Amino acid sequence: MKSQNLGRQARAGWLFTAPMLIVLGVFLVLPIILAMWVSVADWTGRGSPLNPDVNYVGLENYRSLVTEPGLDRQDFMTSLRNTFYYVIGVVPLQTVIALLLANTVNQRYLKGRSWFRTAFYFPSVVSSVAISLVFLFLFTSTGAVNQFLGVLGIDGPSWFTDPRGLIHMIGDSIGLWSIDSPPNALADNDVLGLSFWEWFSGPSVALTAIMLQVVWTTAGTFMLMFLAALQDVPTEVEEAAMVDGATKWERFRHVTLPHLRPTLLLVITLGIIGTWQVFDQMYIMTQGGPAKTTLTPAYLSYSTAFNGNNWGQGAAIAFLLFLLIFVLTTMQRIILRDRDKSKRRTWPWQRTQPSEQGVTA
Amino acid sequence: MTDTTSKTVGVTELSEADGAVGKGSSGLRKLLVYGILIVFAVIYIYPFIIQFVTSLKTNTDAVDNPLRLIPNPFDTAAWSRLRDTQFPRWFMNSVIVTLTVTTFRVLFASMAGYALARLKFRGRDAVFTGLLAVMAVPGIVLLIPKFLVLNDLGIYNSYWALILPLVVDAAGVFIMRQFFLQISISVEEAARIDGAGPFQTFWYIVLPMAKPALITVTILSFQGSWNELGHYVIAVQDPDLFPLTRGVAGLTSGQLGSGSQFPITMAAGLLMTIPTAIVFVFFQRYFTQGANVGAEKG
Amino acid sequence: MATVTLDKVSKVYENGFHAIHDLDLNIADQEFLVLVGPSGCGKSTALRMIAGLETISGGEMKIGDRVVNDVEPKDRDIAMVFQNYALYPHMTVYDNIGFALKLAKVPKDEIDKRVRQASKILELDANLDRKPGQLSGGQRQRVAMGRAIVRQPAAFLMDEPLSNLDAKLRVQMRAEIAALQRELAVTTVYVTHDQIEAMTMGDRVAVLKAGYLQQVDTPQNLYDRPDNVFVAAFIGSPSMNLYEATLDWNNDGGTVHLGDQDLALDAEMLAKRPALRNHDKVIIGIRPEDFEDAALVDKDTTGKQLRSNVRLIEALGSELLVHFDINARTADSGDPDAVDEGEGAANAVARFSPRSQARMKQDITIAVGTESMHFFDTSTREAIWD
Repeated sequence: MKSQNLGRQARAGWLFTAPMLIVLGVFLVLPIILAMWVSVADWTGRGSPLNPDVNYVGLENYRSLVTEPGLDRQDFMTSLRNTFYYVIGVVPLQTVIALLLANTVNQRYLKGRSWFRTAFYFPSVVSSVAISLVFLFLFTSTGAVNQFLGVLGIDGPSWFTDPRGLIHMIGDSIGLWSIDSPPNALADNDVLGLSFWEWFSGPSVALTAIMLQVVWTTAGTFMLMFLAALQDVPTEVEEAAMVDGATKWERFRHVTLPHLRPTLLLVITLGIIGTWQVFDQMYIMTQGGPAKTTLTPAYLSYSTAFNGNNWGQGAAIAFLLFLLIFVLTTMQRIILRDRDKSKRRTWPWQRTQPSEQGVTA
Repeated sequence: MTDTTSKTVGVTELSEADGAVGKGSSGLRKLLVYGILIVFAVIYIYPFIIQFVTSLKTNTDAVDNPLRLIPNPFDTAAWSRLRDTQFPRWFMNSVIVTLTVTTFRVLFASMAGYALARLKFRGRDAVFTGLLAVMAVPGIVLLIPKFLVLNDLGIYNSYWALILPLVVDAAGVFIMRQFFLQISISVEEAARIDGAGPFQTFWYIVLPMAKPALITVTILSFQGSWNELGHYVIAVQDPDLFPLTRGVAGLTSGQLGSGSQFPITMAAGLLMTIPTAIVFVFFQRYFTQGANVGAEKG
Repeated sequence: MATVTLDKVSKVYENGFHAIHDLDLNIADQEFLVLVGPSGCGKSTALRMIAGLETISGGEMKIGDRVVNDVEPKDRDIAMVFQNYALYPHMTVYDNIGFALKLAKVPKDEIDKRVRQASKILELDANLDRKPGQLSGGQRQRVAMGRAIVRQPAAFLMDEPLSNLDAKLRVQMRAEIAALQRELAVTTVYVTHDQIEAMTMGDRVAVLKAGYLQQVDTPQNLYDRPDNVFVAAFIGSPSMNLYEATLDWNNDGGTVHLGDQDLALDAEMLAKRPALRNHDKVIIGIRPEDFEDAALVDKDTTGKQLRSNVRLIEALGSELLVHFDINARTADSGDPDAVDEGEGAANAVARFSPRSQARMKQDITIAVGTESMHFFDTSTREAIWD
């Protein structure tokens, strides 16, 4: 039997979701479909990509990024290299700092906790443009950062114009190689359009400055997530652990950290997703330079399309980036799921009291 | 660490912590904690102070004495020069875009969130699954695709292009849905018995009850659309249509004349930060909630 | 004012769960009917079907003379009080009570008159401008009642309206609601899991279990003549003692073999239950008050006594609850909410006069009022009468 009410609810349901469905359909689903077409076509930006002059070119745009030697592949590989160093620098650093700040701010006796919390979180809500402008100023060759380093007796680099890789510089300073005449074995052999010497450059000085800025900006957001999780550590469990004879460090290690685990995983996942998409800072501050050492897939995709009018390749880069992020997060999810299953821990101070293990749950 | 060692270590340290030694070391600990906090606080606040002070310097003074906190000479030229640029226009554009986007985002997110949480209709689960899928698409890879559609619809380089694609935000819908799921359904049933239809229930009962979630979504939308850059880069090319972020980002490449004009860029950055800062100060609680919504969906 | 009639009403959820089986109920005009049963028995579902909040899968539902199967809740002329009150948290008490009238486009001064009238009856006058969050539990309960009575509906539907109140307030509100219902003379269907509420409030009580109606009757009849083992055990506190037993017959009457002890049955008692002759195995039921300390009974109870050892005594002042063991198998009541007292617990409870000298761990002799003993069929579990 059909109820009058269910009909009304169904009508209301579609009515209420209609704006969402239309907007997401037109500005999200449709774009993806259109971009898929453009990524396998030779559209040059004139007229509509759907006009009959535009030809299907198969995977040509993808091939020139991945398999065919040439400048396109070299740029794409450079952008992947840069972002790889960027991610493995930023994600651990911002996670550790966020955890440190959260744990410090969470001390019960602390005066002005909310004040500190606000100070650390504030940069997260400020426009990346405003912050980039400040950092451009702080990191000029005679800027505040270098003046401060000068006080410590360090001669700071001219940050945003210095393309030298950190690993290159470290090797040079410990006498492993000379940065000006790299060892032939590394410089002469190449993979995917970049020599080993180039692959193993490390982040450039310019990219490092951007990394510092991003860590400074985003650590506050993640600190808040950790703080929320810390505040739900049940005090009873902590007290039980104390009674069981756990030291402060053991309590952190075996009560607090396991409790933070889900948040930690989330912070790392969001960190990886976010950092692979880095765009704003490159657009505002460096436009990929110096010497392409701050080129990232997101920025390369943009400039290939908008500046180079090579729309097919720009779209192809976007899809490859999407695929990469998707694979990384899926992989991470699978790995972590397996580990969740295999790990059923007991706390060291409880192992001698099997009857008490109910508490661990 | 083996069982026995950890056990014994635990016991001895506990007894220490309870005694006089513990008190002394906890004083040292406090000092360490405050030390860490103050160092970080300086790192976090100093850039904003430098930003403010530099905006009141001459360019020469700014370049020569970047660390000094007292401008010499004191000069408000940067601020007054901003008025002669397109900055006021960009500011207005940002205000228009942000207010429009926020209004519609809140309305559409609460409507869709309510429907997905409460109204029974065929296809609801499919819509929700689609929403989750959409949330997983990284925003940055959509820049070119969105441009393509804006261009094909013939609205590229217009206010429509700036606003329309932003008026629905999947995360906002998700937040509203989660909120509606946790309010007691019997209140809505009572309204139904009292004679309210789906729309009246939504408008008179559910929406007023959703105030905290509405504020959270409002703030996230405000902050998101005020600070947005990528979308504004691909949506317009006419400087008269630039919102603040797009316009001010161009300042670095010297749109205001020759070379770097640090006091002006600092002043511009500061001005665009002020609205966010005001909202942040008054609604800090809701920012926190917004940040943690991410934690729940993970 | 109206009757409420359920004719073979059933409810099957989309997932296939059959919540209500062919429920027949005839609720008279102005009657106070209580639906009672353990959790999951379908009592709330039945009420929500009357309200129109759940669709009806089969059968016919009438309010007055009108079939309401497909009628919207608002058009059924009913008002409902929810377990958690379901007050509109952002509205004042006044607006909460008047909301339905406002939606029905009743003129403003009429709304005002009726809201004030209702709030006067419920003594809410002083709180009309407050919001629900500022009220006590009892006051919120009254607002929920006010919201119902202001509409002057044909029927009140109440879903465990007292279960969120503390024990003392519950007793008070119980009396108030019952009195109010009599005063307003509105047909009322009241759901509860608390059998004391059911017994004290209802004109009639309908007992449900697992979607099936067990028995509908006045509280006293349910207590005195339960139709089956479930109703027998569910109504009354402490519960009826239920055992498996065998019967023997002779000219003067009969004998109940309860474990290794015997109880004599009088001929006149057997005469009232002719069908009993056809049974040799039965489930017997003895209410706690049908046990008494034999030392306190004046008349001769020879042959109607049990011997046991006292396990536990709960002295309640006006009576003693004496726990002891009977060497016989207890019968399962079928109540999913029944507390499993575990292996070691005593299997019999008696309600003794406080003058009893029974002491823990002492042997006692218990007189059994066999004339009020209940008998049930072991396979159908239904009461055996005639």
